[in-house]
This record gives sequence, C-alpha cells and structure tokens, in this order.
Amino acid sequence: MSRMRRFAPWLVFMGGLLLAAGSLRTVKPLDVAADWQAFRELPALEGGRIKPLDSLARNSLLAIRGKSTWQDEQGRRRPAIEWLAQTLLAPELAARAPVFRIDHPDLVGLLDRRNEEQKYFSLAEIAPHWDELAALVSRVNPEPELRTSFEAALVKLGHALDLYSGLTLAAQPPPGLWQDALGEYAALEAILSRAAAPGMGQEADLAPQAVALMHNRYAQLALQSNVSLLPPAEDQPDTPDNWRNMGASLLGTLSTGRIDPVLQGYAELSQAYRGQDWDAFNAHIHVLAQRIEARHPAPAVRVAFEALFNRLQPFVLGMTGYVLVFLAVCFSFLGWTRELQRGAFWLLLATLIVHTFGLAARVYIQALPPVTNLYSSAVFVGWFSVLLAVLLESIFRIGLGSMVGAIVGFVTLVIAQNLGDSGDTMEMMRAVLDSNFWLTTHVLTVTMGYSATFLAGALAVAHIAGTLLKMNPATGRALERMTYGIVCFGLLFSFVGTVLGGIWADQSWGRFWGWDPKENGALMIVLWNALVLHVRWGRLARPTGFMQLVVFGNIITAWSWFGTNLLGVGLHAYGFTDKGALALLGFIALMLTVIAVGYAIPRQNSATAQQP
Amino acid sequence: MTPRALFRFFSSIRLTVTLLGLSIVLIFFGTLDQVEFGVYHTQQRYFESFVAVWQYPATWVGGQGALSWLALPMPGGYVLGPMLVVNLLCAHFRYFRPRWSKAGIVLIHGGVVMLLLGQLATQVGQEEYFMWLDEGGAGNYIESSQHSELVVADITEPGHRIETVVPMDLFDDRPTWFEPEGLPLRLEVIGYLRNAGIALRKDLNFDMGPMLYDRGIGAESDLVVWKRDPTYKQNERNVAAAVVRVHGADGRALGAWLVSDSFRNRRGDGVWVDAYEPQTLEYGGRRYEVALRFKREYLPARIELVDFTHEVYPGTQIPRNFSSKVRTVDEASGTSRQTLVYMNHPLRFAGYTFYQASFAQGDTASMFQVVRNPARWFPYVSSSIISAGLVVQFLISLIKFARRKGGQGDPPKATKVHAVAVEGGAR
Repeated sequence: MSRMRRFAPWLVFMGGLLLAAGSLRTVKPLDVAADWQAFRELPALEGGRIKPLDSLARNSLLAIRGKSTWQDEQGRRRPAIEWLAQTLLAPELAARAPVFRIDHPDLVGLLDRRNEEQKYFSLAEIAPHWDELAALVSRVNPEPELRTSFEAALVKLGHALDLYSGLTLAAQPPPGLWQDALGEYAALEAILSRAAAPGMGQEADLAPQAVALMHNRYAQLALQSNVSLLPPAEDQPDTPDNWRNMGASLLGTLSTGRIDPVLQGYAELSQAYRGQDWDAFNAHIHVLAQRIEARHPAPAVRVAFEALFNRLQPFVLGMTGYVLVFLAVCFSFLGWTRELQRGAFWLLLATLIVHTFGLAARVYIQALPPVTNLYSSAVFVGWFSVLLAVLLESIFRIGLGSMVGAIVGFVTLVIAQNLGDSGDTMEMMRAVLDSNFWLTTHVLTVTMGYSATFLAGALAVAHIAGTLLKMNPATGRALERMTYGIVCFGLLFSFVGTVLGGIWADQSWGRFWGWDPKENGALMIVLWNALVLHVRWGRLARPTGFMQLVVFGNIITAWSWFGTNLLGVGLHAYGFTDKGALALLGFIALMLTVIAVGYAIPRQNSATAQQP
Repeated sequence: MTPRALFRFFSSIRLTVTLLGLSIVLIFFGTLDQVEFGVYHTQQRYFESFVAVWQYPATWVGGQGALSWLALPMPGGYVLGPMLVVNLLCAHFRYFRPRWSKAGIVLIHGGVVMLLLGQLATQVGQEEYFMWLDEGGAGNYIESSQHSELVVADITEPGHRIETVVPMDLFDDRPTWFEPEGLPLRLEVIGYLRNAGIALRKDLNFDMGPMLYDRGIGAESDLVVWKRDPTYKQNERNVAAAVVRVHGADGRALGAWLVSDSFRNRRGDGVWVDAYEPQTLEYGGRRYEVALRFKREYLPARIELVDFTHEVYPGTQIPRNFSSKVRTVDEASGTSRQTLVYMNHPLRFAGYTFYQASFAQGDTASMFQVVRNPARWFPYVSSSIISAGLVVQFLISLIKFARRKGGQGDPPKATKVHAVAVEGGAR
C-alpha cells in the first residue's frame, strides 16, 4: 500500500496523460485508400489568408453545419476533408450530403419537413424550394437588429448557401456544354488556337464569338467564388493579392491561350475522384502539390503546420487535462492528499504546456500576436490564469491553486470553443486594429488584467465555498493571501493595459481617452481592483466581505470583456451573439448567487480567518 | 461639523471606497446610455457634469409604461473627480510619514491626482473638427461638427471674398442682434435651430402656417422649417437652420432670410449637396452672400489630398488599410511636405492631429477627424508616474511576500498607510 502511495503522483500524471490522449478521437475517413493528408495540406486563399484545405474544410463546415465533422446520407460520421473533396471535386455528390443545419421550425416546415425529425438538410432537399426562399430572402429587413428570428434564420441559411456555392465553384467550372472540366479545357484550347489563326474556313469565323461567350461565362464565375486555389504565376510576386480563383484564371487563359497547370491538375484530380481511382487520385495530388510549391514555395511549411495543428486540437486536449486536474485535486481531499495533489500539479503543468503550444501555434500560423479577436482573447485569458495558478501552487502547495487554475482554464477554453464555432478563428485584422506593436502591448496587458481578476474571483469563490465547508483556518488564510496577491496583479496589469490603450488612442486618433465602451470597461476593472484593495487596507470588511467584493470583480470583468461588445457602439464593437448574451446573464446570476451565499456565513465562522 | 471632523471626513478611506464605487456606477451608466445618445452627448451628461440622471430607456421592456418613471440620479464627473483629488490630498497630509516602503504609494497617488487634472484640462480644452478633401482638392480650414456660424461675405469683386462671421453659440434663445465691425449691415437672428426639419411646403399634406422669412431660397421655393430634437446618434447628423433679418446701417430692414448648413454642404456620406445657389443681397452698391455653415477654424497652411487608397484583404470585404497621401503647403514660407496618413499614423500639424476617419465617392474623397488637445502630454507623464509607483509597490510586496513564503505568519501588510488610518481613529 505504501509503495502504491509513493507512486500515486506518477499514476495520476501518467493516467491523466493517457486519458487526455484517448479523448482525442479522430474521425476516420471512409475512402481509406486516398492520401487525405496530402490533400489536406494543399493551400487555398480564403478570408484574406492562405490556409490548408483542411482548415477551409473545417471552418466552412463549422459555419454551415455547426460542427467540424459531418454524417453522410447513410449516417456515417466522416471528417470535414471528405466533404470538401466532394464539394470541390464532385459537387453532384456533395449536393446529397445533409450538411445545412436549420433550426428554425418555420424554415424546416417550409422545406416540407418536421422540426423534430430533421436538423440537417442537403442541397438536393433545399433546391426545390429555391424560388420561394429567394423571394423570402429578398424581403428580409435590411436592419439586422430588427429582424425576426425567422428572418435571421433565412439570412443564416442564405450565407451558408453562398459559402457552399463558392466552394463548388472553386476548383472547376460548373457543368456547361461539356461533360466535365477536362472536356471544357480541351475545347477552350481548341477554340483559342483557332481564333489565334484566322482564315481557316467557316469554323474559324465562329471562334471570336465563342471566345466572347466564354469571356462572359468566366467573368461571371470570377465573381462567384471567394476561394482562390491558384497561386501567383511564375512571373508575379508571391503575395496574397496575386492568387486567382478559377473564373479569374480562365479569364486569363482567354488571353494567354494556356490553362493554368494547377487548374488542370484539379480537373484531373476531380476525374480520378469521381472514378474512385485512388492510385491516380494520390498521384495527381502529388503532382498538384509540386506545381503549387514551384510557384509558391515559402509558406508551404506554415500551411502544413496548420493542418497538423488542426489535427492535434491542443485546446480540446487542454480542456480534458483541466477536468482531470480538477478531479484529482477533489479526490485529494479524501485521502493521500499530498501525493494526489503533486500528481495533479504535474498534470496541470503538462496541460499548460499543451495550452502554450496551441497559443504559440496560432501566433506562428497567423504571424500576429496571440490576441486578435474575442476567440483568441478567451484562449489567452485561460492561459495566463493557469500560468498564475501554477505560480500560486508552487508557492502554497495546498492543491487549491491547481484546482482554481484548472477551473478557469477549462471554462475559458469552453468559452473559446463556443466563440469559435462560427467559422475561421484566424480571420484577418480590421484596419483599425492592425498594428502589431499595440496589439502586443496594450491588448496583452489588458487581457492579463482580465486573467488576474478572473483568477482572483475564482479563488474568492473557493474561499466562500471553503468557509461553508469548514476548511481549516490555515487554508483559509492561505487562500486570502493568494487572492490578495492576484488582485494586486490584476490592478497592475489592468492599469498598465488601460494606459497603453490610451497612448495607442492618442497616437492614432489624437485623444488619450474617448469614453468608448471598451475603454470604460477596462477603467471599471482598474477602479474595482483599487476599491477592493482599499477596502482591505482600510480593514473595512471581514474576510468573507472582501471575498464577496472580489467575486463581484468577476461580473465587472465579464461586462468589460463581453458586455460592452453587446452594446454595438464604439471602435471595439466586434462580433458577439445573442447566445453569448444569455451565457453572460447566466454567469452574472451565478456570481450574484455566490455573493448572496456569502451572507449566509455567520460572523464567528469566518472569524477563523480573522486577521491578527 | 468642526474643521477637524471635516478634515477627517475628507481624508477617510471610507470616502475613497465610496468615491471609487460611485465612479464605477457613473461609468457603467455612462456606457449604457451611449447606445441611445452616442458618445458625445453621454460624455457631456455624465462625465462633464455635476449631476447625471440615468433614465430607464423607452426602448427597453416596460420603458413606455410601467418602468418609465425609473430614473437614477448620481454624482457626475465634475463632483467625483475633484472629490477624489481632495480625498487623496487630505489623506496624504494626514498619514504621510517619510518611509521608503511607501514611496510607491506616494507616486501612485500623485500620478492619479495629475491624471485627473489632465482629464479636466482635456475636457475643457479639447476641440474636435473634421475635414473633407477630394482627390486633387485642397483646403485651408477645418470644420466643427458641433457648432455653426453665420457668415456674411462681401463678394462684390469677383474672385475675392471678405467674410464676416458670427458664431451661433452667441444666439440667446430669443431674437439677438449682431453688429459686426466693418460691415455696414446689422444682423438680427430671429431664430436658430440646432436641428431642423426642412421641406417644400407643397410636399406636406398639412398646413404649417406662414414662415418668418420673405427673401431668398426659403421664400422663393416656399420652404417650411420646424424644430427637431437634436440627435446624438453616430450615423445621424443635425441640420442647423436660422432665420436672419438683415438691416441696413440706417435701420431699414432689407428682409429676412432662411439659412441652413444643409443648403450647400457636404452630407455625412461625403456627397456635396448643391441644392440651391448661394443666397445674395445688395446693399450700398455692394453684393453680399449670407449663409449658415459649420464653424470653421483656419489653418496656417493649405492641405492637398494627393491620393486616397482603400485596400481590402484579397477575396474579402475586410478593410486592410485606408490611407491618404496629403501635401501640406505653407504659402507664406513656400515650403511643402508630403505625408501618408493611415490607420494609427495621423498627421500632426499646427497643433492639430488629423487622422483618417472616413471616405466616400468611390474612394476619391477622404475625411479626417481633427483633434486639438493642449493637455495632451498630461496622461503620459502621470501614467508613467503611476506605473512606476505600482511597480515599486509591487516589488516591495513581492519581497516581503517571498520572505514570509510558506503560508505562515501575518497577512501582508504591504501598505500600512491606511492601517494607520484605522489606528488613528477613523472609526
């Protein structure tokens, strides 16, 4: 038994690692013979940045279906990349894939289905109602805030259909006079060579007309897809602006007379895919990859790395890790306290390393500082909180640092997951925010202020809970000191961050302070932390009262982080949803409950942690 | 209350905590009201006032009925700011003992006082303007979006204007007389509306009654004018209008004109609306133009817009950059320089900061927001002092903390200033 006890930390650590790794189930592709890995790493320009097809697949499916995997007609769960392959290479197959998520009962009813029977629809099921949908969409209220839920659902479906149709037109033209893209390209080259050599008889006279018709077709297609698969030509600088989509490339063909070899490669790939000829499919992918790399050598590593990052899902792994740390610390209060807590601490460190890897990977892929939008701010808030928690635990060694850090880490990653399910989380920065120096300094320090205030709030919740559960006074005092220290951290970071924001504003817009909602939110955090500290220095409250104030800091920070975005005014108002508003209200209600519970603690009870 | 008790009150830490709490409340409601009233108006109502009253919004649930009575008065920025400064200074004189362990606290509090003073100076001294330029065009003045002025220009000699300007801030809510120097005319502003509705009488299906003006556009086109509540929303702007009766030097009335900044101006979207010819009158053998316009501030040099560009990320509508290539030409010295104004890189010129704010007309016109803030350097100095104080105090705490590491001993007494407050008898 005692030997087992000595190995307990190792058991917790190794067991945790195994469990976490086991939680990473990857969905197996159905067509196993295809080299999906190579296909995943082909680059595409979409949303302003170059990304692997794997990211294009996952983000598009997230936006359309709300998940990054899908189930085919037979109900088999398949990875996003297989859906993208269908959409790009064989749209007639993709049309049968039930990937459009529709939740609004009226909209489901419009498609002649019952809401409780079906959530996911295929293009083939939607297409018969096309005219009706188009008519309804055209009458939607142009003011987004004034739309009914039905109108909002219509607009959402409209966006999903646009996105989908852009994908089907990314790799090859839609069926025309020819059997497939290869047929069209052969015909096109024939027409162009005849048009270039006039006077060859009656047929030649028709060539210019044919070219004019093709011109119209390709000009239309060039406008219909936002996905560019064709890297800059050999003689062009390798910048994102020089990537072409299928339509634009074929327009170019009309003057050069030559089909882009990459486009040709996609047509050959499509033929092999439709014929399920996997040897040919794999061979074509490799040829295609070589052709692309010849013209666009540099970021190939970055694109491949992004595909790897997608597969590893460090933040999902992190969530599992934090849950296990939390459980291990909980069990430690029952027995084998020191051993289990040591194991939990090691596991927390390992999880923090995974979290750090995810954060660093995003920085490398985007070539931007870690916080660029709400999603990444959630990831960063969690990361920094856990870092502080690790410091606390290494000083106090009472398990509570690990536990509270794990809670904050888990919750923030869940928030991130929910913020990220509308599409690409690595979107480009809007012009006003595009300044690496200030993004690094101002945004990071302000976000660290959020982290510290949240961590302090979580410690205070633990203190209130612990007092109710009659924890021993030494633990109570340790928690107080931890909380106090982290509130000081919070004041330092939120103040410095707010001031740096003011300096940024003065440098950029000539005014230090503009009473913008986000600025005000940050200032509220600074003032609140100052208030809490003054209450303590002046001994104006008993320990529980101090903790209640610190818990209220959670509400103020949540308001500053998300609430101000709900107002929809000011420079910082970027993307947030109604679902988020509900979650925010729920969080505020929970914190108010904790504060109310604090009042139930009798005075003599909390006196155990009274200051000398 | 004895002076001693008063001093006790103003130096107490309870007052500090109360003021901080009230500041948070004020900022919260001052943020909430921005949805309804925009930043500018809210700033005036909450942060540049002595008392602010938050009114339950009519657009919220029950705002029209059951909850419409709900209003929350609170002390405004001009009460809380000075109180905080007084509180800090009193506390300093009451508790300060020269001791190294408190150096950080002194720095922090000194910096906070300076920051608050700087904010006051900014609120009093800061002015905001805008400037529209077309590509290839130039301008030598900036305009205020909040203030209007009446201008009477002598245009007798072609290509030459002699302007006389009357700021409408001087209008007194009743007919007000102006006798500008050097102008043989006397101006009687009968009415001035900060936001007016203007329409052709024939377009209305009800009768508005007779109007006060009998000359110019208002009379010729038979326009009617009515008062509207000023708007503070970001995407709306006020249309100012005034009725001015012009008298000769002999006191004889020459007629009353309707003037409005909407008659000949660039709308918020940047488009010039040249609905009417300039309004003119003749007196004493000279020709005058009379108009109402945004208040102007003339620059010591001319600014030309060479080129405006607006880039988006490829394949998206996400803006990547807006930039204006401008040239400032100082005619007096004959010097000129070219600058690129773009996101986070404003042009600083003649005490003003010009930053890229908007664009229009198919990317051929550019708008600059122009700010002048004489107290600009205040926050830099004060926040450096505070940051230094925070770091010093933080390090002191950390050292003490590290010495007591291990969970034993006293709770941290990093800052004893206010602990002394308690012992000193604040209770």
